[in-house]
Amino acid sequence: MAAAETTTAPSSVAPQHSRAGPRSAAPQSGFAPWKDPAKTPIVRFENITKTFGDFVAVKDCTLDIYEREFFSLLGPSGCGKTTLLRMLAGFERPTAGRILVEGQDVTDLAPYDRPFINMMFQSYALFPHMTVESNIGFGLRQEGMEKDAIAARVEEAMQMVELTKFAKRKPNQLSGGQQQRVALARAIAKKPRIMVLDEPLGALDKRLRTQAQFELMRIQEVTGATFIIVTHDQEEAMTVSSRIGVMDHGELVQVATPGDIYETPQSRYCANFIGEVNTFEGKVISIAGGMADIAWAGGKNIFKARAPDGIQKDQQVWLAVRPEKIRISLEPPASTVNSVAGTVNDVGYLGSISHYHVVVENGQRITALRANSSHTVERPISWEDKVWLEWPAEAGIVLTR
Amino acid sequence: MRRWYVIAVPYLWLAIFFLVPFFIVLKISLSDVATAMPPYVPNFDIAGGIAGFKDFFNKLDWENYSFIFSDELYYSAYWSSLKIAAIATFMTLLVAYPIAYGMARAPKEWQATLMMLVILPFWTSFLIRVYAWIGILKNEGLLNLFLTSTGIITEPLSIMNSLTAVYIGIVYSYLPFMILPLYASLEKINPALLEAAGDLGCPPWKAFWQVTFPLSLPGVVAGCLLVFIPVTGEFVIPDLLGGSDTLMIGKTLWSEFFNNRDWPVASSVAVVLLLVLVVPIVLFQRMQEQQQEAGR
Repeated sequence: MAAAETTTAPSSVAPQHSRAGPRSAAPQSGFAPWKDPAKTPIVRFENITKTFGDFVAVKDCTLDIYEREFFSLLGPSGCGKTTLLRMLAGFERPTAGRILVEGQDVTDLAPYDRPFINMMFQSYALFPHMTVESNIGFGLRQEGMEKDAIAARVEEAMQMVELTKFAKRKPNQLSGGQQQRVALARAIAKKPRIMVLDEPLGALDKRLRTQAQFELMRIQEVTGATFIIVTHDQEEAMTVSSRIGVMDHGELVQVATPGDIYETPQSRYCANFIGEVNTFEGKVISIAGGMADIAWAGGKNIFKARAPDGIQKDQQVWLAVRPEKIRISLEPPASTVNSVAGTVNDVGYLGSISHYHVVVENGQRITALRANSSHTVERPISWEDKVWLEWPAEAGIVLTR
Repeated sequence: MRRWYVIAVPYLWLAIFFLVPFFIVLKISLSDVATAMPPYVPNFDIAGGIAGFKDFFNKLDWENYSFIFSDELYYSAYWSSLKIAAIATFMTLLVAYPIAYGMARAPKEWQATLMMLVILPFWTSFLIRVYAWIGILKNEGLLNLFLTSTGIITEPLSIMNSLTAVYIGIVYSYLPFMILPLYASLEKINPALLEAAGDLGCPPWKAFWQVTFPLSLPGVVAGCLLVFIPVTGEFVIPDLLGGSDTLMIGKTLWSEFFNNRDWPVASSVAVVLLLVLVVPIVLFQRMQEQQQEAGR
């Protein structure tokens, strides 16, 4: 049995905390409608279950999303996030449960009877026989809008995504990034209250993607629409979202702001999926004053951390500690609580920070990060050095699953 | 230099199997009918030398063409052939489109089987299949037997030897040529496009005309050409299923050739038919190319 493990999330980058932490993940400060019990959510998924034959794509999901939110559904492929979105847009019927939009039951409405919602498709689904202009105007023409009004709205949408000079082109004459913007413009041209975006930036390269993330946030603010996006990229979800819903095998495992998910994940799955984390498997030996003592490696080390509600003595738990919260030093710490000794196995110098992979007494690899704030403080830590790892009690999160 | 060989093969093929026969037919169409073997003059004789060569060319003339254009019969045969071909092509399109659409929307694992079923009739000779329709359509045939025995009609329908029978025969025989290109273009359409149309407020019946149909146009054009061109010159179907009043250029050509043994006139009828079909198609393709250029 592994007593401690270090896991790296799919596309994690080192300075995760510097972005997620202080931003506290709200577009405007104090924007937290989910904390107001009197507020009606713009979208409510009520005990939604969707099965395809024997396969359960979405399992009993209940989720409220509020007006002007930028909500991300995050999870690996096949976790049911796209299915949940497609049910909201009307392409799939839930097997059980209801979907409410502003309190109205929309579960059985056809996609074309949902004027309040528009979707941006993962494949963009641009009409290949139409120019950029008529692609964007397609939805407006369906409403039977006046020609001049359509032209004005199309122009407005094209300006918003900076496509005006490509108006007469066909989709196959555009680059991937331009096609992505046409797809976005086509959906926002209808001025929907809710925009759903299925992996909107998935096909773009890394550099373009970062730019497009801020673009999306700007457009969300300008249009005032509620954005719901599906992504498997945790970094993207952290950057753009007001809140994130983490999904695993058709279940919503945690819904919280990016900061809360990062700082207080509710399970090892969430802790691993968002950012990088070290987990120590141990047993609760005592609980006192809201703090739990956890014995690790057969009681050799005692870790102290805030005890979550409902935790019991002798319970098996996992202590999660983020790499940047671990202090690495060549000197033994004053207290043996919350510290482990080990040997440096690998050092990754990334310029602003360094990664240290330390093999601790029981053979597990622990990752610690250190900012390279000055280059002449002490002897640099190097391979095969005997080091001590230490973290404050508030840095550890006790997880029960 | 190597590429030259690769291109040469299809050109050589076209030269041997299209250009050479075409020039032979063109030459015969400029000749005069004769009671001889072969039944036309002049014949090229290498022994005559340069004088014989000149003499040969002097004897060729456009007489047969002026004859065709002066006789009302040929006009109406061409016109009626084009009309029948156009109507039959349209009817084939109407029947083929839903079939191709259904095939394209069927589960992936069925599609190969469905395709096989469409091609299956080719395993039986075309002639035999047309003969089979006689057995179905004639007054005491299967269709009338069925309709009278079920009490739907009391008097047998006389479909056989009429234009209706010709249309039935053409639609049946040429259906696969329409279905296959239609299926190919429908199958390529991303289903997400229809979802996108729905999401943008377009119900399915409107989405068909605004998205599916325009995107299937290349298949519609290809299928229509594949049916229209051979049907215009069709001989077997109007001969076996049509009546004496079914006027088609293929039948006219056949009777010139076999009944009148007038090879030169028959050849000029064939050359004119070729021009009638090729010229509009070339013009159409030019126009499409220009449109594509303009789209860029």
